[in-house]
Amino acid sequence: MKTPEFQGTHLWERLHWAKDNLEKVQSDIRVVYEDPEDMDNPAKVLVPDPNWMACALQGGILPPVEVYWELAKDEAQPGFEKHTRGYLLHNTKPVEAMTEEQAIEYLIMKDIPQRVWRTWDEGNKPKMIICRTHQLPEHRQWRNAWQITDDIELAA
Amino acid sequence: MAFGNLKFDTLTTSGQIHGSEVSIDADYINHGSTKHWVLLGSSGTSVTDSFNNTSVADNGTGDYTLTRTNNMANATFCVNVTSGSHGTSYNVATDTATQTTAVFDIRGANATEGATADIPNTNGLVLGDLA
Repeated sequence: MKTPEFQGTHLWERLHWAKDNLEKVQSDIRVVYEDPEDMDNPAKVLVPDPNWMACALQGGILPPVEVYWELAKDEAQPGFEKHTRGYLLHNTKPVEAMTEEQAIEYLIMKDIPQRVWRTWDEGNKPKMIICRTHQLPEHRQWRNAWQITDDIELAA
Repeated sequence: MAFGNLKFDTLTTSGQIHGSEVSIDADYINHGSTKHWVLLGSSGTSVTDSFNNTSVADNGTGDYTLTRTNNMANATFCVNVTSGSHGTSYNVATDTATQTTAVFDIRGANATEGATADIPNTNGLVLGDLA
């Protein structure tokens, strides 16, 4: 199905179109990460949303990830009350269709703190690992003790 | 069979409650609709269905962060969370301290044991203004 020309259309309207016309895509890719500002807590696991993944694979719906960085900058300003540049979500040219791997990279840059992914491989061990669901522990009995192991072997 | 588009600025009804005609602006309907909703599956390790949701971060037992695709205009939106389980000791709540225009949190707990807990079919929705 061809995506309508959505630049200038409110992102909310685009998501309605996607919900009506696209099948959910359940990815089995997960991103495990540890936040250096939150070291007392267990490793977090980022799970992509199936409706969002469908939008990413379809193309022409989602704004560039840099738009979210701009909004985050605005929100970080002292005295922030309300977004005044929401139009960036709606008027910026949408990104083209992504592969599942590209979508995960986009998601990392959107939903994981930059202090994690910008320096993910610096320090004594990686702060972030991309894996498949079968590589995670099978049960959650010790969920609050999950950490990225010190001697993890990274794929080339 | 195609029905085409219905375009209107104001919806006028017969007003059965007050006995007189009532008009509703189309914007009024939009302002009151749910802007972000999500149903989690498998103890927060997957998303069963959603709208305007990008991802869930499984932060630990009974602790999830939901991130949206279309940000809210401000961080003073309303969140309603619950679970699909009828266990009498389950509590589900949100954490307004961590709420931003991009995210909201869901926390689950077992009140009897006084500990966080993964509760089946936890879900949440957001009402407020979009960016």
